[in-house]
Amino acid sequence: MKQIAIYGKGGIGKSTIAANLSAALALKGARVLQIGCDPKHDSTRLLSNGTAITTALDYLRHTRPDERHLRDVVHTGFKGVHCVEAGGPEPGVGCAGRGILSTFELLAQLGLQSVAYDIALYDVLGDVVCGGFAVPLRRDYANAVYIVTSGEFMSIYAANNILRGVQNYDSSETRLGGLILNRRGVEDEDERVIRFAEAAHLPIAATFPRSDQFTRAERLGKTVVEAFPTTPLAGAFGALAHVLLNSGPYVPAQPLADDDLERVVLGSSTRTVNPYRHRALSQPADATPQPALTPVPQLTARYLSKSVRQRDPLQGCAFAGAVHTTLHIQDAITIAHGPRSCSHIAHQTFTSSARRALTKYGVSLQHQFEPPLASSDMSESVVIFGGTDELESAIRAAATSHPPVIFVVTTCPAGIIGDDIQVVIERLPDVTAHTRIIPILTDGNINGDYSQGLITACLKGAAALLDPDVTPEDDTVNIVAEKNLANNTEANFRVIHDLLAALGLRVNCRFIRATSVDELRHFKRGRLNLLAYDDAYGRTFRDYLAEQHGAVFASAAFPVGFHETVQWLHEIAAFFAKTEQVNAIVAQHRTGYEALVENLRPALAGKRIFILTYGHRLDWILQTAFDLEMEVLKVAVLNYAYDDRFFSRFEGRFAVELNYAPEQRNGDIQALQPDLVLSNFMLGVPEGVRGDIIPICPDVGFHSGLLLAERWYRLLKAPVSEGWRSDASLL
Amino acid sequence: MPVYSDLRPDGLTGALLALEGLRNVAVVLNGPTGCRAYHAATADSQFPRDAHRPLDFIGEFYFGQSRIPSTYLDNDDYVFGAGEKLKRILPVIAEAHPALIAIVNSPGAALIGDDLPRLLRRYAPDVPCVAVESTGFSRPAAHGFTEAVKAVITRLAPDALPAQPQTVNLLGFSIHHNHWEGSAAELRRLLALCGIQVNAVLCAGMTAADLARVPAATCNLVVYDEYGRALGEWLADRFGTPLFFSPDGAPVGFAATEFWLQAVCQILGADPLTALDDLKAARIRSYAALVRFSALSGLPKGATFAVRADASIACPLTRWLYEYLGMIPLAVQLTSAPDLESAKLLRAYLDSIDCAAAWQTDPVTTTPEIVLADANTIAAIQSQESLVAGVEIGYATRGYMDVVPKSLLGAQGALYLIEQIINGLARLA
Repeated sequence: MKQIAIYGKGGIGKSTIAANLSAALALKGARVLQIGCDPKHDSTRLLSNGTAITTALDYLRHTRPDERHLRDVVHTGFKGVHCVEAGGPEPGVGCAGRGILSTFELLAQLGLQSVAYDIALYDVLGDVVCGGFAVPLRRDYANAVYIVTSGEFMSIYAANNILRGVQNYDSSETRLGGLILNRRGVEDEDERVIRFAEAAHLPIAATFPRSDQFTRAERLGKTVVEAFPTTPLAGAFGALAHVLLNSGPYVPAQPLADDDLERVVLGSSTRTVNPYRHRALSQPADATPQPALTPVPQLTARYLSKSVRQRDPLQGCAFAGAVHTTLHIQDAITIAHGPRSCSHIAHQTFTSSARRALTKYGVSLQHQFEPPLASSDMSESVVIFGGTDELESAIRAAATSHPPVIFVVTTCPAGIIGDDIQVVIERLPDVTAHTRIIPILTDGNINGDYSQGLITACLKGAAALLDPDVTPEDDTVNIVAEKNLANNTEANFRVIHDLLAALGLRVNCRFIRATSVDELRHFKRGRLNLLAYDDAYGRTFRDYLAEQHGAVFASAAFPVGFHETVQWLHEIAAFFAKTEQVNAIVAQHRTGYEALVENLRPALAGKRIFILTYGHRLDWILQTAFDLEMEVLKVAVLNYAYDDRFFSRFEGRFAVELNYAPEQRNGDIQALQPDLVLSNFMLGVPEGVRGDIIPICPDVGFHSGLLLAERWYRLLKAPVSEGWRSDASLL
Repeated sequence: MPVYSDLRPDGLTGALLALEGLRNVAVVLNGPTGCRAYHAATADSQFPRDAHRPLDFIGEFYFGQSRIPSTYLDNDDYVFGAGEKLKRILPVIAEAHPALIAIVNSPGAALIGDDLPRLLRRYAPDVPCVAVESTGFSRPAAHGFTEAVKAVITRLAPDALPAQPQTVNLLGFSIHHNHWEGSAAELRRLLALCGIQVNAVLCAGMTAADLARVPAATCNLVVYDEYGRALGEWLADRFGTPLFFSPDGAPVGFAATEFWLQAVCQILGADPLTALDDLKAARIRSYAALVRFSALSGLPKGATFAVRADASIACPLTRWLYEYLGMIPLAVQLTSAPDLESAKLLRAYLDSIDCAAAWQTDPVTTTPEIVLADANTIAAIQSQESLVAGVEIGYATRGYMDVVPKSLLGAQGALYLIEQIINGLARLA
């Protein structure tokens, strides 16, 4: 596919020329896509009978990710030309450049790149003012650039700036198609442009006169090519379309110095458009046959966190989630491309879980206190001028230790200014000769919440390392989707490890925790995969690995509580034909469990509990409560960023309310009069009510629930309210 | 593995925690939740100032944390601007009648350039407001701290006031400093013994009303050079208040504290004798402990130590550990710029005691007998050699809750450090 970017000073007539070119191209039988990259979203208006189409950014803003489809933003216009408008903010607010980036990301996610066009035209606002407006210049996009100019000095000045932008992107390539002179009727116009073209060694690809045919066609909501197809003007567009279709020759960008430019040159009705309207155009009967919109969406558009999918407020940022994942690939180095605050926060939150684990469990992992994280230390000037040089320096510094892999994870500022990480990687052949550089384009929280970052790091980072040719080995398992920030993760792993060892099984790879590039490469040695958590996050990992890598999973996640542990062991043992070991393991724990139940039951039987929780898996607590003959009055499940699927094998034995509003709590407590309130947080429980904390990430194993019950027994003996609580009034 | 680049906090953290050090100021982050949660948790642990009722803060903007509500910016806001979110959050914040609303842009928000002053005027018209529109990308935390403090002083203390005799402001304290509260209290106590009243501790534990009195101090005492020097110079320009700082750094240890008090008293014409007597009493208490500890072990003399801290702490601490306790530095790594006077003095000092190799050596690459640093550094060393003792003099901490405030400065600070060192080295005795 040919991809042509059309740049030029604002108001110079780019959109009119682009639309006419698209029309002319379509008349020649080409399958054409035109993308308008201008917040005023009128690039394709003349191809659409003068009407507005839904902009990509409005669509992005109002549509859930899992409901998005390419057909909603790609509209069919004159002769079947496919039209897309980026749209953008009102003048003076927001960041239109970021909007262009978001548009291209959306189109890529929805699979536009897999649609078979002959030619795509990018109609880009004004100058190459920032990374966003330079997106069409990236290698993945335009393979030719044309600049529209008049003879006015500012127009030529803008054209020269555009040459600079192209030069910044092209170290060796040549892709300048030339100038398109759109006459404005100024004095000495053609000569000025010719002098500039000669000095910059640029061809003039076409010249369009001032003509009221443009105005008359516009009044009809049409291009000249459509409205007056037999005129010389329409013919000129046909001729230029021919040039575009038949390529080059292209020339390199050779901008003039400002002084030289001055010397060379001076030596010398739009309709209001609907800001948001879903309306795909019907295809005209005489349209050029266009490719069907049956795109192949990107993986990142298929595997989404709960918050991103449901468009909830984003908790945390994808950058931190990704960094917290890649830091667990211990022989790789992660570079945070952004200001130092981003790497500092990611570092502190990463190490905080290690500090908590050290305090609570005595588990100490040096790697977690000094993780291999570096920052490109984006400065304010970098933000203005782009941060690729700083990133290159950071990569070179990291590469001195010859790590097998360097991950580059991007922050909000990197995403907003639109640094092109791939360009940086291409500049570093000496580094990539020994170190693989893997970009993870989270763009801070632009691409989602913390949970989405975990997923993206898996899809774009760790999974890129997996060797598809590795074959499973006997008696090996992988562990998948542990929670790296939970303080009991390592302690839980040790319990699981010991249970597996008792079955004669070994852990091949933890995906992704305390692992290495080599372990990930050999991920597929694991014959069975064990999910740590059956929540939205865990299920996304499971679905991805099962669907894309053929991974086989046990049906149950890490077991919490006696019954679950027994079931889990039976399933795994059956898979590996080791059932004879299970009974001995279970028997060893059953005696202790039953003795403790017998001990606690007299004190707890008949006690009434109310459970308020973010966690959606509670059977380990419910089993304990029912074994102890306690009464479960109600389970109230709060909205939780990590899960949205509650189920229990005890359903019917208690009342349950999903999407529970926290402010209902005290009223329910008043009405239900429980003996014990179990919750993930206890503060503010009304006077006269006993309560206890239940963990969101519980300890795994046979005795999880019972260990809590021992505490319930003690709490019921303690005074209902401790003396210090009355001092709240002193604050 | 290479030496990783600097992961210390930058201006965003400095600004947010400067403002969170004010008691009745509402700090709002115009930014995503990813920039907020860590700072909200840090502010709450370093300076707990409310009844801690997460349920009261579970709604929009707060996400269960009482501190630093945010506009939780997302991609839509970056493209279309944060005006709508600000329109919603500002009236909610104003409802609580804070003495000041301080709004800080995250790095991403700073790029978008929302017109914060206009939005503040429009949606919180009845509350004094300041906007910190950029905290300096990757610039030191002290930069963001200084700019934020300057912004609130400009808003709340616009004019010079008549100097109140024998009053001083303490400069350079941030709630991000470990044991800031006890350290400030100790200097306040010692200065009171000299007849000098502390007018304000910028910006740690003050109210907005305290800030308004800042111009009334006779002198500004820079305790921590990194966070206080530029601010002191700005206050001198703005209000004509003279500035004092010690090139040796903060008053850590007995000798440095004695020197510091005498210098301050000389400037203010105050009498240090009572305070020096207090230090003598502390020296006696210290001696009593050290002589018994040393009698059976010879320690702490000859014990090795590592320090990772800002220069204004590392310089006097290293000197004191060497001269007063006879300990040997293996690693002294600065977490602040090495071009401060105290840093240069420290480097020269290490040369002079034949310990030049310790200068800027990463403590984690050594095995000292005791390490004085942040919790991560201590834990990283302990994960290699579990018996190494650690004293948390920097943030982050391991989570120990100091119900009784501890000081690192003055007489009480010296005794606290002696206690930690003696008990930390007990395994060697």
